[in-house]
Amino acid sequence: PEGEGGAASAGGAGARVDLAAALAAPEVVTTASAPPNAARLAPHLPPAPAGATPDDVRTTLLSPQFAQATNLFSSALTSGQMGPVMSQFGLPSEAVSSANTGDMQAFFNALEKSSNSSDANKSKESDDKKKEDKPKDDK
Amino acid sequence: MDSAGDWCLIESDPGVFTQLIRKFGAKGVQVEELWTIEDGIFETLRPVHGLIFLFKFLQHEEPSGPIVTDSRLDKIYFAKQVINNACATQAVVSLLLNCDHPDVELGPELSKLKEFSMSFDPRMRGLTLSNSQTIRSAHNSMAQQTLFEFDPKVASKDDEAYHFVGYMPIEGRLYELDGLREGPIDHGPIAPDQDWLDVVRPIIMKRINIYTEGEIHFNLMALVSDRKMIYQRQLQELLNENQRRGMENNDAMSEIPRLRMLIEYEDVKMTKYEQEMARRRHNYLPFIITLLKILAEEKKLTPLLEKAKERAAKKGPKKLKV
Repeated sequence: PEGEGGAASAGGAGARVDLAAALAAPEVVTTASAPPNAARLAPHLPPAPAGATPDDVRTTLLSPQFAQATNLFSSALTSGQMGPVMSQFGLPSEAVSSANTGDMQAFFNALEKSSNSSDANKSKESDDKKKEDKPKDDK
Repeated sequence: MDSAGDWCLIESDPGVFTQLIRKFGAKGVQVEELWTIEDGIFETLRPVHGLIFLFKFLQHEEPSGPIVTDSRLDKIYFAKQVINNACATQAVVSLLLNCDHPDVELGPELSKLKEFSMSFDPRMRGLTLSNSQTIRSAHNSMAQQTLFEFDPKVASKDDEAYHFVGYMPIEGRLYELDGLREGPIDHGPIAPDQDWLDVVRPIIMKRINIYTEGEIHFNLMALVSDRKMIYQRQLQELLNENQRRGMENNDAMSEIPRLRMLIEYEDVKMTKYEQEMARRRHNYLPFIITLLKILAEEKKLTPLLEKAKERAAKKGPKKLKV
């Protein structure tokens, strides 16, 4: 919303955003590795084979396999096919409907707006999220 | 060509190919990536059974030699590629089925395939290969897990066609096995005292030069004997020799720890391959969504997108991945 809204409102068309590169940025690695955040992400890390050092948040964000998954996610999101999946993850309806339009900017805005809620709400939401995510992991 | 049977696209990566070969049930072989094809590159990899060349497919490229249509086809396993995305498997299977080396053990599945399809013509061989349930499921298990049901055609219009071809010596001649051709391409004889790698090197060099000039993505891999097996064999020979002599000679003293280190290195490499495969097959969607939620809560999501957009705008429209 604030600042360079003009350039951003170009929307999904035109220059393609490299979400994988964006999520591998140092500030994302720092934010995600902060203990409370790392704890929320930990259940979703890939399993490690015997003898290997398990991946943590940092190694995951920097791995090419994660980048590939993120790019797939990004393509799916901008193609407008992610709405139904998002609702499975218990995201607010505004985020779901913007995911349906394939507008990443609108989707991110909706996510930020919905997380304006109080801390109490936030922790409730993350509890919900755990419940929502669990079955997905077994796939 | 149709995409029937859902063969997925697999990555050109030595770990993926090595695991693919083991899933087929073949033993004694692995795949190594080659970063150059200069003299000496093969020294630590011998014996090299074949080369796999990956490149962006060019529509009108002429075959670089005569195509075999005679009775040699009865002896050379050559299969026409009849479905999309199977060329990685096709290239590897072709190399394996033509490989005649004591180190290489095809295993029941590939032996059966060879026995069953050698009397067929190249097209029927291709059909047989693509109908093999074991081979298809091994191939498909190598893929990046699809995060969710979604139609990639909508999103990835700029998908490029990559193609794999194999090079190998068969009965004294060098052949190129490309499933999109009508038969193997004959690159001529290999003299009895000549190393086939010296014959193939200039041919690959020429091809690489064309692709490099055109900024076309390519990749070269070698099908080699299982390195750990080779090192263990060498180690055993040294240990036996020491025992026979009842003393240790100096060469062996330095060679034994070196071999042990190389064996350990191979083990580490295989673990790394397994870890990469676990990542490839992991469903990262819950991680991504949780991460986006965290970034949203900390109001870091839109600034991140702004930055990414600036970067994208600087780069201009998405360029070809070269």
